Amino acid sequence: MRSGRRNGGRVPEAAFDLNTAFDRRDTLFTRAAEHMSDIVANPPSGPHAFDLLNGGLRELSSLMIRQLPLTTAREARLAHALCQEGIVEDTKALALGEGVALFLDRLQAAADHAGIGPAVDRRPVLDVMVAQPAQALDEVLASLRACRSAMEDQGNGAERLLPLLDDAITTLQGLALSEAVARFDRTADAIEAAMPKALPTKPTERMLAAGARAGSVALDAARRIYQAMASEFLSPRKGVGE
Amino acid sequence: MTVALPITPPSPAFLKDRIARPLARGLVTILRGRRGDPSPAGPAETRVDIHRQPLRTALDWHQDMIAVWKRNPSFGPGLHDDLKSMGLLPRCVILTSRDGGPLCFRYIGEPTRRVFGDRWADQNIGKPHLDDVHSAYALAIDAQYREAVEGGEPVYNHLVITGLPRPPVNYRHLLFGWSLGHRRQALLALIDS
Repeated sequence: MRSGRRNGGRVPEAAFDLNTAFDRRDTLFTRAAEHMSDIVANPPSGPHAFDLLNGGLRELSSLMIRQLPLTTAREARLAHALCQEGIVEDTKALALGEGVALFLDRLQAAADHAGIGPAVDRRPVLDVMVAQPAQALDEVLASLRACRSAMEDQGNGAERLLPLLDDAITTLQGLALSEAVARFDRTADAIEAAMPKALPTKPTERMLAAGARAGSVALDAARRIYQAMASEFLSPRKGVGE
Repeated sequence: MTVALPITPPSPAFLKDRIARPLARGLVTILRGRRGDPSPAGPAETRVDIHRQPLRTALDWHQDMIAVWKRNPSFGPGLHDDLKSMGLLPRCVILTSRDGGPLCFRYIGEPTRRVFGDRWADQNIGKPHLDDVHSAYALAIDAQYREAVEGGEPVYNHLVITGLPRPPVNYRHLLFGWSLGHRRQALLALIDS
């Protein structure tokens, strides 16, 4: 993977180093991030500047919100949350958290440079997004909604960015619901598995003898049958209610 | 010589019994439309009396459960951990539904197992509670479950169940619901007996 190219001092000091921010695997996400990094390093100008930046942002945002729901990550504790929730592997969590924070900085600088970033009087909009690192999808959603509302109120340039935010909110809502359903199902399965079962795991010889007689099988076969039944009975079931 | 023997009149009770018994038997036969011995008495009808209780009268460990419910606005791993760590899980009955389907048993705790039996509990896990053989009880309690799930507030009731093949059951339950629209719903009943 390549890192973003610098552009004659036009970009801020701390370069967006993809080699340290992300792992080296070649994925759609890292390619999009690399592409965006190039745009950030060489902010476009001219009539198509916004479209270029917008396209890159849309592509990357789409991948980010799929892979990194917590796009306002800024701290190591968020990386820990990413890891705890099983969203990413622990080896990547910290780099991703830092990478996202760096990316947002660069994105803001590029947007400023291209004339579509937040002006001084619009600074509170971004503050909404970055002030509190989000710990969960619903917090990200709340940040996005607040951001959208603030941009709508301020008007300037909102018609360009609001659709992006709407897309992000819709996608995140879907993600949040899917995640909530998955957590619900995992919890219900865990609770059911915790229920004490009445079937004894160690049947008495008398029980086995009765089973062997009823099934016309040897005692040892009856024992194996019982063990198989108990194993199946005591294991968590799948597809309850389906 | 004729000796007049004293005539002793029959007692009123004897007469009454002698007349009344065949009459009663005949009436019973006619009413039943058949002959033969009277049939054994039929099973008593299950009756469920539900009395809503104010939450402020809930027991202290019920209040603990209310705190757990407030800490867990969604039905997730945190709820399971809280129930286990506070020792509340064995007192619960937990049901879930998916995609608009019926509420199915997922956990049946000790108080309910004591009343209906381990075998009943094991056989009903994963099954809709309305399919329960104690249908009158299930129907009566379903409205309470729905209220807790859809109302979004705890429901506290005192229940008296008679007509089961055992002495009357008298208990209180505190119901909590969680809902992800029609996608998923959950009901937790905390039983106090």
